Amino acid sequence: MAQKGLLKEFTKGIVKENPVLCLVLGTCPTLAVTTSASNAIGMGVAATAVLVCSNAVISLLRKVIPDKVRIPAYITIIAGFVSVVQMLVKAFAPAINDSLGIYLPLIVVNCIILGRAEMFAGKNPVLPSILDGLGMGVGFTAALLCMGIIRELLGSGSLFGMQIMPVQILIFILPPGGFFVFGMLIMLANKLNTRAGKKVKTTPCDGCPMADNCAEKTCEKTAKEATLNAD
Amino acid sequence: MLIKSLVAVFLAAILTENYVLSKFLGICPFLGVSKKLNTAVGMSVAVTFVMVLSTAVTFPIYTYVLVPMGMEYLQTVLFILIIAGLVQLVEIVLRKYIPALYNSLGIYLPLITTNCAVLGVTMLVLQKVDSTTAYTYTFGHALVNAFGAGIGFLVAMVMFAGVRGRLESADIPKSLKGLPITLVAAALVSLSFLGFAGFVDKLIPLG
Amino acid sequence: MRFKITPKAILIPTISLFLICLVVTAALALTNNVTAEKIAYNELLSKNQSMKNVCPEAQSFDELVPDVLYEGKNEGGETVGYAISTAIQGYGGQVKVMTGIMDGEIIGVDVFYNDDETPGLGKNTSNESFRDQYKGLKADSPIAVSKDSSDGQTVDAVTSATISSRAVTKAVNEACRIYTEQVKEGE
Repeated sequence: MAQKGLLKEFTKGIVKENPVLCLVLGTCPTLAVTTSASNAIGMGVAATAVLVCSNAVISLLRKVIPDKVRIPAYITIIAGFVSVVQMLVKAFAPAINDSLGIYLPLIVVNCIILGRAEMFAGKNPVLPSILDGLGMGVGFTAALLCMGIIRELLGSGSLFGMQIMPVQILIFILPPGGFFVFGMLIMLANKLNTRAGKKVKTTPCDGCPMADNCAEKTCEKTAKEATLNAD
Repeated sequence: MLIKSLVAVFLAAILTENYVLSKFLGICPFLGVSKKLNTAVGMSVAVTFVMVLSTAVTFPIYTYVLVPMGMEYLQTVLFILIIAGLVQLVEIVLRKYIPALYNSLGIYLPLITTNCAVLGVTMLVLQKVDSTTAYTYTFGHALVNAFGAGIGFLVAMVMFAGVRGRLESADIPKSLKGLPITLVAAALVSLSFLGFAGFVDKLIPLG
Repeated sequence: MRFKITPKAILIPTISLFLICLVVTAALALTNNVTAEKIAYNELLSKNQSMKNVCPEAQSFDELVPDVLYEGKNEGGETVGYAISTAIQGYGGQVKVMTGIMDGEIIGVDVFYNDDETPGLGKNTSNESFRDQYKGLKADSPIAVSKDSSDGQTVDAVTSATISSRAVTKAVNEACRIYTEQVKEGE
């Protein structure tokens, strides 16, 4: 029974709570690095490594870290792992470092990682946290790969660098194509979710770790205040 | 020449290198907080402020502390902590001394810490510093770049808030409602920004 | 502040945060120690590869101006070309170009860093069909993109990537200027 529970921690991130398509987190790298399938895999693997390590350490330290400095402590730990991964990639896979560029160190502000730390690793034992991180990482990689394959195939007519299509629709590897393909994928995910009778996310904020002190709630609050002031 | 290059840096940061629409940084607030015009503006002003302030701190620290000591590897950790600390500090100072400003901007501050556009601005500008060429960025360029990036964020947010206002009343297919149509609209807005390429080209100081 | 401020309430979070920072820094220093040499070696390797691309006959390179001008020599120690590294602002960020020049003639151009350019557009400036246009052009007169000028030496820009093509051309011109200043006048 316990094993079944653990397995669920792993699989939920891949389909049911896919961080990109269902929770709509980590949109920046999803749009930025998916101009080719191999980039998408590089980003996915790097982020998964950081996610698993930070989840493990945060879960280990969850009883030691004072609640008040929780977020800065998490950010420091995550930033540490991101830097380690960055150095390792630079040393052993320089080509990936070159193609990911600035987006590699920016994994540190990827909301998926801080989100999982805050929502899962900070409250659960080590093993489930590692599996949760691994599952979320695989889900993230899968979504990125999906975007990468579509954009590379349509935009440069190739797949993993191999030319297979004679026509190229350049716009798909340019920024507008990123937004468009992502929109279409979300639509597909929403459609499948509604068919399964699940609630659909309407903003990217619902799963965001900072949602409590931000976004919609804040917006509504300010809008109300603004109208009050106007009155 | 210096003024010309500063203007070029400023315009490039707003138009061709727009952090939201061409570098995909800060997408979360772009999609989340752009529903209404006044919140979009408030958020953007707060972001601009934090961007300039963080660059003003991180740029000298990187150039005069980390590089001479050979500790560039601490960049990511140090920058994110500096930004987080600065945001806290600004929040406390604003609340204490300028409550009016705090009421309009303060609420956006906590969520800026994890805004990748801010970290992106402070880090990307360092890649443009290359003392072996004549086209290197100075501290002034870095500040103008940060300011331009913030204004670029503002421009994108305001434009997008306008587009989203129209979407509210549009009759769209059910499965596209919500996020998908927002993303398609974002695609069209970013398409329009591609057109600025030739405009700034004339101003980029290539020598 | 809403919560009570006692020495304990301030000290414990501060100390634990400090300890975390300390451990993270130590871990980073360690990783840096392990990887720094490999990273430096990788960079050198890619630069050497680029110098070899523009100056294929050379067996070894002497650094005349640090990070900028290299003299390529063959096995017999004869000069077979100069490799000049220049950087310029492109469309998305920096573009780094290696130019090979021999006897006042360009023998090769390599775009060894253009990762900030747009994939599918500006990035295509590193394609051979574009770079090979520079071969055989003279170093003593400026090169332009054919869209801008029809006189003198021209190269055709990569489709839809005029800015990146111009940046590469400017970098090559800069290399020619360095060559004229440092090599030709020194002879």
